[in-house]
Amino acid sequence: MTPSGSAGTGAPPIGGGGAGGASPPSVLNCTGSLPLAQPRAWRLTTTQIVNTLRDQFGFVPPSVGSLPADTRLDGFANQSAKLTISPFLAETYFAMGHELGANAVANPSRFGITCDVTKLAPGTCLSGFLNTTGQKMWRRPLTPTELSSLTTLFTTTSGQGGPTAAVTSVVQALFLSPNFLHRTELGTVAQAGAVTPLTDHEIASSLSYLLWDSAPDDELLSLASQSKLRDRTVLIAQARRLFEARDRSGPAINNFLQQWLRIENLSLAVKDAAMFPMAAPEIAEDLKEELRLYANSILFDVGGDRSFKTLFTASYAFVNARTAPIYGLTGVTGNALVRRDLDRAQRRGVISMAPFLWGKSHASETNLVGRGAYFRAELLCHRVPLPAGGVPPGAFAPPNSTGRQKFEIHSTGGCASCHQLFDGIGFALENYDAIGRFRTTEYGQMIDPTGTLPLPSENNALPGMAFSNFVDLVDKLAEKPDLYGCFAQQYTSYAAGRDLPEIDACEKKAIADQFAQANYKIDELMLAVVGSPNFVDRKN
Amino acid sequence: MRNIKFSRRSLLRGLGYGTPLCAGLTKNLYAQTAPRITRVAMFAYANGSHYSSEPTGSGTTFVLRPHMAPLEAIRNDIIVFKNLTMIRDGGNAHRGASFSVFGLGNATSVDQLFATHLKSTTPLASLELAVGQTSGDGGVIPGLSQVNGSFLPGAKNRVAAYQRIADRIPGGAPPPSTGTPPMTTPTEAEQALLRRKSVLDFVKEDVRTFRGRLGSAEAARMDFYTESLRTLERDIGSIIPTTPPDPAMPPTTPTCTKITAPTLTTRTMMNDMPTHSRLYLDVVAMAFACNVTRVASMMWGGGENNERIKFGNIDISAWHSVSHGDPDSGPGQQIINMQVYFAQEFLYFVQKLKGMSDGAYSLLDNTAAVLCTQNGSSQLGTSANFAATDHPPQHAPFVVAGSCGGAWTTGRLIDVGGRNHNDVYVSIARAIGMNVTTIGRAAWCKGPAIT
Repeated sequence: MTPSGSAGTGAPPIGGGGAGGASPPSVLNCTGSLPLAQPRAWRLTTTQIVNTLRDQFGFVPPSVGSLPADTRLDGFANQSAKLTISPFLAETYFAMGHELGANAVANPSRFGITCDVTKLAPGTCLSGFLNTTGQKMWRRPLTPTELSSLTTLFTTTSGQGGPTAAVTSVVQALFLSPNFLHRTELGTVAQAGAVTPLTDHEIASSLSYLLWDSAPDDELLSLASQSKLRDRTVLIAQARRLFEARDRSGPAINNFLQQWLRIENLSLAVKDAAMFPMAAPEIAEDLKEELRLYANSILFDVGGDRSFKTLFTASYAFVNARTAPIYGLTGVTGNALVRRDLDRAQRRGVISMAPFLWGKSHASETNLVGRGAYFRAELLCHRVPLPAGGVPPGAFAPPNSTGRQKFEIHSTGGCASCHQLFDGIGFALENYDAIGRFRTTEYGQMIDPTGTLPLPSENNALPGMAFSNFVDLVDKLAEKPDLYGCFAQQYTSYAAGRDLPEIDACEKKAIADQFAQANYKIDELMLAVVGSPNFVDRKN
Repeated sequence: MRNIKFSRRSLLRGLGYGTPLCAGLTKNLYAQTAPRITRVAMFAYANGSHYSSEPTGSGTTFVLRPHMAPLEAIRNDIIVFKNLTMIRDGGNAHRGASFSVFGLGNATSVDQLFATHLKSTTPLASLELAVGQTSGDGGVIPGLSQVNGSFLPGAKNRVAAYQRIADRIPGGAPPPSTGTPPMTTPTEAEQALLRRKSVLDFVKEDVRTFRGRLGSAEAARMDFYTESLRTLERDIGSIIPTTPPDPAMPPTTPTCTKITAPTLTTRTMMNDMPTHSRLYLDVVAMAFACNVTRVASMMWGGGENNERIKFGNIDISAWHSVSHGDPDSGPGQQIINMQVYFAQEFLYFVQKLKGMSDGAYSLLDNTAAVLCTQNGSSQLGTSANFAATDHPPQHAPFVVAGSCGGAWTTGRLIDVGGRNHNDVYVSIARAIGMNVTTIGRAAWCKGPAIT
């Protein structure tokens, strides 16, 4: 059944809603054309640099290991406004460029050098090298001016060490160029206030970096050269082609899902060994793999319906000998992860599975408030701000209190106005301990997983949607629009490289509506993003 | 030994780099105009402190609590503070602290302001190092320095951290990992250098062209990249071998010595601190002694870091969780142990600088080294509310070692009466020659805290 109402409609603005989050829903007037984002240059992420070099040249420079993780704050780690090139990054890129250049000398044919590299000189062979490597790296044909500059650089550096050294220098320069390190969304129109349609090659890069985290392949570049990618039919067909190439689209989607669920650093969520003797460190990688296989089973495997609803509500998992006990499963041996059905009375969907529960828990305690606040912010797209003056002091609960007993203080006074928005979710999730095992008692006391959840689509009216436990919460929420509208927004944000508040509300609504009309098929959500006006046009 | 005969200075001139820029690589220009070459090192650790960390007493008779006990050995070299607030904006305590511990309420952190002020005098404007990272609702932040609201990732790989400094110290060719091949003959060395310059010239011009197509916000990011490229450009002089020494150039600082290169390339996690932290401290000291940089910042675990930490007498199952445990029993003792550990690390660094000569002074005499936590003390009256409080910013343990070129007297406690950490940095800024009365967000400042 498809929930009634337009997904995402009526939700309060992200980050808004005040302390109680109970402001009236914003009234959207979304008639007319959608506003367009401004032109920009968007630095490649480390993953995208690595994938690009791997796919184009079969080589990954070893110095990439020196690069630290990109910052992730308020949303995803790929936000264009945050991706800069500090001195440390520039130095590391410089080293990577040199390593790539040395690889070109060792493997000239991969770089389009069809003659003896030691005798390379201006002429046909050099032009072939510059055209081939230039296009592979900059994802577009180089202009005559650019080719001329590179030829000059080759000639200059050849005089400073010979042709092989010059090849290295030219490749290094191509790497350090903003044309490699950034993809552009500029188009060709510079007039202030005017719409600037993106070039076909810009669209090709947007598509391939969104769906593959890598450079466009020959087919995309060929279509771009024929100026066919602004044809919506062609564009959507290409998006489908890229999505169906699961070996390349799967990791890109997984990257998004890991960040959405905040489990990319799962190995840092170490558990208390005394309390959880079975929580071996290698389980972190098992759980990340579990999420990947779970998503793949829905998106790519035979029988997968590609529905976000399934992702949110299914009751099976991929386990090995180490992780099966988390689900109370027996008879699973070895390292390989195998699919097993879970107890439907206990588990429902990705939030009730170990990767999330393990990652979103402390070493020994569960993180009741954190789990609930995450759910509200990232699954309902309602970021409830912390009190401006900080958390007021409270008192310790008696030892061996249940989670609910510890945080009952939130239900009184000023705390309640915010905590009633998400503590109920946390109470329901108390049925899962800090490593994700199902439990009904804590410190010998029965866990009470009941609660209520005010919904953004219902103007956060109190007390909200009642549920008897987390499974019930999932089943009921799956029939509401909030969840789907929010997931559509999250993917739109990731695809745009902009945090949620920076994306126009009508664009979010339009994509959420298409997602709903497509019965929450995740591949259709991706196509809705690709089909959005912002995918092909900018406004100065 | 390499047999390099050519003159570095003549080569640099030939490259179009006049002496004003490149002389700074091995001889600090500041030395010619100011009697003391000052440096700043800033260290911060995550998750706040025990509620009773603040020193007691007053003036020169201050008493360190157990949390800072190791610093007793250098009590005459430090200033400790009382009633100091690590102010931050609202919202998640760790997120807010990540922005404000060095940001001081501005989008560009104070170490980067210092770096901008001093950058023309050293090859590297600043050095950022990090052990661990933030996690949880504070986001994932790989360092605490920031420029225009973007965090600069700290080096977390031991070899990379070492190499950034070692490669810029005259006395040998850099290893291949820097992207520059070993230079075995003067001709090859010279040619490699010339190619490096050619590549950078090309890229700078390319960035200039690219920038011309962008709007102002985008162009600002390109300007930042250009500035980063200039750091590489400044290196051109420093990678030239210096055997035999060029008589035209002054000798490097006597205590400038390359330390042994590390071999382990694993990314640093909190459990690696016993070995990695000391290496990083040695790298900072080396960088200061060799005038490779004059500004360094280091993060020992970012906000809400919840990693397991187990070494020595520290056995923390999850750092952030333990920081909210009962302060008067096991969890509290573990937090104290952590603070003692960081004090020991700071002691090691300070004593190292103290043992290095810097002209007529020690390196410490010409340095301001800051030790603080990203959050304050959880001291809001009683221990009973520790776990429920949100790392309040008041009563933050805060130490400055060294007199930053004789700018102030050490060996005392200053009660700042609730003022913000900005004011300590106002004093440091003035000590390094910045003519300021506020730093960071002006509304958070009242003037120099160290007088």
